[in-house]
Amino acid sequence: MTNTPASIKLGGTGVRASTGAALVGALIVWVALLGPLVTLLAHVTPASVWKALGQPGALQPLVTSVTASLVALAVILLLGTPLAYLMARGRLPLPRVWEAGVILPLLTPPLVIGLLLIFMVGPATPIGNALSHLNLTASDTFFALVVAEIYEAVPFYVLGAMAAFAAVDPALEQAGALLGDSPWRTWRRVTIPLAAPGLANALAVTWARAMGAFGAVLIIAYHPFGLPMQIWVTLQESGLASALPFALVLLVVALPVPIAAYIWSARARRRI
Amino acid sequence: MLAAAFEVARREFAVRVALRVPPGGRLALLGPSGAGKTTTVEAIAGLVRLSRGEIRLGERQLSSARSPASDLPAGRRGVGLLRQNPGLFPHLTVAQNIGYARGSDAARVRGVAEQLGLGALLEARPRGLSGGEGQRVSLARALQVKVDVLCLDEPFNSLDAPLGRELLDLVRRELEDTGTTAILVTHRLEEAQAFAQRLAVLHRGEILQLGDPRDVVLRPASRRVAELVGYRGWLSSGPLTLALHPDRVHPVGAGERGEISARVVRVLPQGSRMEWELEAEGRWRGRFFCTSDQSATIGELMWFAAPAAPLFRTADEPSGAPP
Amino acid sequence: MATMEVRLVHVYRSRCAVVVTALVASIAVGCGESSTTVSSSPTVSPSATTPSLANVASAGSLQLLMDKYMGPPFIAQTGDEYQNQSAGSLGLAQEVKAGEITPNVFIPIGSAAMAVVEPTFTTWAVQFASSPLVVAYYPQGPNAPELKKISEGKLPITDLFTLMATPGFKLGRTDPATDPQGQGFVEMVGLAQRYLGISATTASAVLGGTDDSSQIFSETALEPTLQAGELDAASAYLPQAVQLGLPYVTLPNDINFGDPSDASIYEGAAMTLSTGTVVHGSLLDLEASVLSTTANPATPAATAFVEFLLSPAARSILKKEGYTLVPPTLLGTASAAPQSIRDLTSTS
Repeated sequence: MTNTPASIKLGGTGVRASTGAALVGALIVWVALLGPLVTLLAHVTPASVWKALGQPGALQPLVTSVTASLVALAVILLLGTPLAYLMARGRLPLPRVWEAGVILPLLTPPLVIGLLLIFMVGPATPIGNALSHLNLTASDTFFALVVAEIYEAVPFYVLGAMAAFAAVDPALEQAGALLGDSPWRTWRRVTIPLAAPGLANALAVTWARAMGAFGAVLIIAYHPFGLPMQIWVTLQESGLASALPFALVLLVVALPVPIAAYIWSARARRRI
Repeated sequence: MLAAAFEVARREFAVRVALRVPPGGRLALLGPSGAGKTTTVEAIAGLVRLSRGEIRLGERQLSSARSPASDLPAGRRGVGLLRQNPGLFPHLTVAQNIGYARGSDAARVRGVAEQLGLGALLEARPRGLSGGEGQRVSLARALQVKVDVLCLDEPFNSLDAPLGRELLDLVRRELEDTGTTAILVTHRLEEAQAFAQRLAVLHRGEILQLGDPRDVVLRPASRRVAELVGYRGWLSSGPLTLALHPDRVHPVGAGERGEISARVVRVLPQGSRMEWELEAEGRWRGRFFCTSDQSATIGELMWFAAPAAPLFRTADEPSGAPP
Repeated sequence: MATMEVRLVHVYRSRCAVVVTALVASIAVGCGESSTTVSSSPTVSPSATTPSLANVASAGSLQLLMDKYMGPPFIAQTGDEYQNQSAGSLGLAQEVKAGEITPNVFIPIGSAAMAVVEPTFTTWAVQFASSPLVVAYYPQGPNAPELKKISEGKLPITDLFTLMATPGFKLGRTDPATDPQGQGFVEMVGLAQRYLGISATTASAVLGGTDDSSQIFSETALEPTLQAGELDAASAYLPQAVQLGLPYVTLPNDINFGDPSDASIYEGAAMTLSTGTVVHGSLLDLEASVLSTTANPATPAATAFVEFLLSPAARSILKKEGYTLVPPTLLGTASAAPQSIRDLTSTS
């Protein structure tokens, strides 16, 4: 219910100089971040991409990556959202412990996560044994690929979703309850719509991370090949020139989701 | 009949309240900020857990400290709450906000909107509304739900006085029409007097006095209550203290006898009237205030009368208890 | 979008965002430049008065050997600087070829990897040891007792293959497309068919049949997976098994790709890669060469390091660690090799 404030003019060369310095710094970082992409585009021609994809079986890693990432994303969404909400509302005892648990996979190098997963869900472990009753093996299978991607990506989602939920004023949820809504109804009609832009951003990052997951994947899911493994193996087999086209494919396939999420999120935010 | 006798633990002190409001009755909770007024209505609305006691609405038990698991959730108790922050859903239009509760239809929404002058704003979003418009939407939204008790927690506090008065009046009429019980939280005595049939004065979590609004003002039970209902003059003469209300002390007219002799210290405009600040000398000593239509000369010595001004023992605690 | 991991020189590295890491690596690695040409001296001696850098790229399984047993004595003896990175031989070769890394000593396993960097970076190599294949196994697994008996010779070696062919036996190996060991293992099974009389069905079952993907692990993952007990057995180099303290079954010389005198037998083995290329087997030998280009000329330390590898001290270490010693043999254009190295070898 506030009016947008008119732009405030700050006087003085001091302010202008520091804004200028900030802009220059921002530009440098942005250019550096785009460097690899520009280099990639400079070294890869559409013809080479076509040729790489035209080889027999070359499309399979693409399909595998996308499918596995979608499954991983669905699992992360289902299991991570309630956790993020409870953490955001402070409804869990010992909140620091829960936070540490979410951040730890983030601090652990993915390579190490992969090695530890062997000891945790490998076929000979108790968990692995239980999984085998469901016909699931967490070693060199599609299931293993999904598990590796989940471990690498889930902290991003939970942390982002936590922030999104924390930004929803609890007074609004109380207002919904006072108007007769059940907690589930309030969640559906108030919390989720208001948290949606933040959740979309979190999902975008999580998707990117899942698609590009490599460290843990290398250890427990060498097969079936996703795009990152494809790049790695092609590099060793046939060299950089043959591997780069797949890197471009990975970018092209992975990018639309985050970009769409960010555009939608920005528009949704403006409406609120 | 709303019967509430409970205690809610808070950081500095516990809020300990016992009150009964008959069906259709209107009670005002008056007190300074931090007194526990909001906690009281939040407990009645079901947003806060009781540490002792219970709240009943007729035959229905709403909350109980002994079995908190059986507390009725907020929104299912027949109690509504209107708050200072309107809490409008920013992602919904005004019409969708008003019609949020289950069981409301477009016709009812339009009806209430018209009644509150919101007809033109139905498709707007909360972001563009002014303070008054926002509170009206919040009110319209709350009125869509049939409740037995409506609690109002200083909802019109941030609006300018005339608008606030107008809206409060509108609410009172609506409540009278529907026979809904109401509890108004306010720190403004005029609001309490205009709205409610009974007044409870709250201070640091305790109800100091509960009664007819006029009665409470004319016969405050303790010095603290007197302070809270607007007494701003304290004159002492030995073991006795006289409480003076600016509106109930006047300079003696012709043929009148006054007990208080005082000198004018300052004169300040107060709306359409003047307020004199005076220093009493003689039998009664102390500082007090007097509202008048006229101005006065600084230093002028005058006699004042304060009919039926409450007397307290100087030695007593402000809350009225003996030391 | 891919994972970016810090490239630690002394740890098996995995990296995916190829270009940036390559840039970082080339900057880090390319520091050891020197403008002096290769010096020729008849004995291993401290190189030219100023110390230079031996920038070594070696096969993954040689990591411990290089960093623990070769590097420190070399530094102590010559006063030069030493640096090593280890990874899959073929992958390393590709990186050298693409200019992503610029080592000046290259020690792969197998001539296929060396061939990748010839002739641009070098035209000669000295073969000095070989690394036979063995089958390492998990000592607490259900099959361990039988495998122990086979390794002690109490049961015939053919039982090994029958055991590995049993459904439910978890065997692990590396990717034939990228790792000489992986390729060698598949060819080894082929040779076993020819020389040990293993049936075609058994051979196929050992390698996982039509869906062999669950047997394949990255070089980094294979040994930890075995050590965790997730596999019953895994392919390994003999020195690897020794270093990791894993029990293993030795394979007969004519199929273990580790005996120089059986080189022609190995060449008779062939397999088809997933890319369609047919590759022939070869001795799993350790070859070393000094890499040099006009842009990155070799340093004296590089030559000194190769000389050091051929020294008696180094060779006794190799033997102790389980490598089969091969008389140093020059391959390729012998005349291109520095005199000091030629003096230490016998041309094949």
